[in-house]
Amino acid sequence: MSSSTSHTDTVVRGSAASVVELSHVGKRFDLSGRFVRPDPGVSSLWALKDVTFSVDAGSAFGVIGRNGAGKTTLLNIIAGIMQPDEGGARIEGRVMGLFNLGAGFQDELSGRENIYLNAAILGAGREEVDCCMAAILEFCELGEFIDMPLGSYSQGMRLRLGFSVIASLDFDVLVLDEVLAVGDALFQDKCFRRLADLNRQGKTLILTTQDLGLIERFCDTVVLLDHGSLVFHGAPADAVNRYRALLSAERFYVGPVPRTKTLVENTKKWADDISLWGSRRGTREVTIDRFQFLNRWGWPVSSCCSSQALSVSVRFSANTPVRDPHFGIAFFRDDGAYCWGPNTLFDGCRIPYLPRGKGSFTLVIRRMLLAPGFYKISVAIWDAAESVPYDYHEGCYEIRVTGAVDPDRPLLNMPFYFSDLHATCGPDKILTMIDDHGKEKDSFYTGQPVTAVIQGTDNRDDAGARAPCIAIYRDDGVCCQKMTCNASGPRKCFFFPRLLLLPGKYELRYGSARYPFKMVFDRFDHGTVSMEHSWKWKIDR
Amino acid sequence: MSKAIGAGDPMGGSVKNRWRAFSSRHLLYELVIKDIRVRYRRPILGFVWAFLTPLAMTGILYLVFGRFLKIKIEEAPFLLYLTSALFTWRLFQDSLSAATTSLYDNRALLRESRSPFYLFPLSIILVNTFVALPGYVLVIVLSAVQLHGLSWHVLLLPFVLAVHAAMTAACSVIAALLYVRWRDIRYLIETSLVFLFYATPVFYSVNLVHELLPAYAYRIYVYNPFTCILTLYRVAFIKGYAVHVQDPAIVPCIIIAVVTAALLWASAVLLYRVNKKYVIEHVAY
Repeated sequence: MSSSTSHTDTVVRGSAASVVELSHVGKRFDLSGRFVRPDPGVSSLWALKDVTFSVDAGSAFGVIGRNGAGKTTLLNIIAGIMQPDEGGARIEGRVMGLFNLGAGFQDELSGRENIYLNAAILGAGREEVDCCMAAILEFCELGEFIDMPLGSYSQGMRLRLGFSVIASLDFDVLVLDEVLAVGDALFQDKCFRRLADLNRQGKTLILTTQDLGLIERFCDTVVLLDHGSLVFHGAPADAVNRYRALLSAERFYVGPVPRTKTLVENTKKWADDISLWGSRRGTREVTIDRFQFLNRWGWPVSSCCSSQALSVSVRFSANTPVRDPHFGIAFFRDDGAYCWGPNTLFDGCRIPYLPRGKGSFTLVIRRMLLAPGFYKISVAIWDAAESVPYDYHEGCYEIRVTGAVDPDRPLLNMPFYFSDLHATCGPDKILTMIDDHGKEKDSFYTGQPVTAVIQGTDNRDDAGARAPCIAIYRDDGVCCQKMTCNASGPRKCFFFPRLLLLPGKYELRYGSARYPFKMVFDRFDHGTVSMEHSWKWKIDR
Repeated sequence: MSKAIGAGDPMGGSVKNRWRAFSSRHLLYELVIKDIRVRYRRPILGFVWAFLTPLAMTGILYLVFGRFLKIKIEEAPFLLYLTSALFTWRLFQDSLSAATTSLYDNRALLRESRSPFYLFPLSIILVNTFVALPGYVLVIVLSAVQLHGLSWHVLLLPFVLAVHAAMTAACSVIAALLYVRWRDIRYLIETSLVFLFYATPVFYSVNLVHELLPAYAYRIYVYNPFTCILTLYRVAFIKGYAVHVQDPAIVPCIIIAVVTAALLWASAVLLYRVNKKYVIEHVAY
């Protein structure tokens, strides 16, 4: 062995030591299924052909390619499960692989017994498992299920168990084959945090996935395979671009659509999962240290008035230098209704690079448009592709917008003017909306001046004394804004200098009358309203 | 070794990994534990089934051949003669039929690991040997009661069991490897096990065969490896049974059994070496 090692050392002279080295690796599958040695020319398939590369110790290495490109075969060879038919592979240290998830589990045994079995399959003995049993149990978070037969587990729970075992054992190289897609967001995030930790500890990770954002975010080097050949070997961004080109060339691509100039017609209207509020996740390359609301004089506050200015200031520390991060802040009502979620990516503010050290960013809101009530705030620092956050404080902070809370709990308090109209002005309808050219329309652009016109006759009959009330609702029934007026004329109008509702379907309600309309916008944003704002950031020297 | 690592090697590729410390011992242990748990945890009678099935079989054969057909055995009481063969035969039969499909049954485990896969059939032999032990004790007790005491021949039992288990294990590894490529093996083995059961003197006397066959054919019959093992077991269980009989003599039986076990092992190892590369691919479907 020593002679082979010394030979390799001369090959990779000058570079970091490689833990995996493949040279001209080929693998042929026999499709005939015959017992006697089959004829190699006929009915066989080269799953891999002439693949040569090496993986540096301590790197995160990605393998991408279409289905059937040979990714799994390659990982199988690296993990030592399959033998190549041509060429050679040299692997340093202990390799562990997580392939078809939980397939190596026995349904009849309990979770705990399966941990021992699975570890033994991976080559670890009972003593080693006993040492890290506490870590495994803590990581998989299966609670009392751990002593139930595995047959009662869901796919996600199997993944939890499988990943926990492999991530807790001691290894030098870890091979992961598209297995992490099953877990829920929180567990996936935990997995990536653990993987990032392991990577920082100098373990080598080799993974395949169809999540290109993840590949770009996570890997140092990527190889692209197609039809068993190595097409590209290099930086993740380039590999992903090559892969996209490959996919679109063959019209197979079903991945995420690149951002376009077309109009946005809908936005995210609800929080993903309010039970996660108060949790912190992320891989912690960058961590959020302090979060503050500042009033217009820069004093920390915990409440503000509607239509006042407000700033959100976040201090962070970058533990590793990162490229192209972006910041995001989201406001939710306490039932999960998404109010507003600006981030620097949507706003086109590019932060090219964060060096190691501390810094801060601030979201300056010119005018707080939220109606009185309590709101939860999430803060996140994302990677370029928004695949896995560096740090994500979900619903961890709260602000009170002071004022009387309406029983219908409207979300917003957008500025508007109210006036009486002459009986002859505008179209003759109970309820209508007109744009800044006086035309009746049902589709508006976010930020456009809009007027809502009502004819008061409908309401006069039953509740003469009550002031007429008009309201905007989202199509999911959430009240966005209520407007009241005390005027007595037969025709009234509400003028919004800028109707700042975000894309989606809305409805104007007045008594029993309904006027549906929709909003469109040329920018991506989340929530219900778009407040006028700007971003500032600085890095401490 | 001094050449570039397997570059352009037309004879096939190689994987070199300095991490040699794959713990086969641990995996074998876990597989044995797993097998015992899977088999005996859920049944209400649990481990008792390890006795009940061979006992029931003994009861049936005793009724049919001992009571209805009234087969006479001069060398030993019929019940003892029957159990001494039946319990040992079951070890061979159960192990072989379970081990044949063991690689296929455990394909999910196999495809996750670079463990040496002969451990899977081996673990089945270990479990079955372990499960068979109480039955053996039962036969010894029966022998002590019916023959009023034990002879020193019973000390041969561990050795006979070891040779028997080794033969079974080698057969199992061979069958399991062949089954991966050649799925007919399973039915062939099922059929030949039935044939072998009736061809070995389990419930009829060797003397009966002696009268039926010419001398050379009888010698072939009595010195085939399966009969040899059976004879050795009977020597151990039935107070040196063969000492009184002329022809299955103990020493040739021992030699034949040991040589057969060694030959079977050699072929199992050879077959494993040749096929180990292909098993992963062919076990998948």
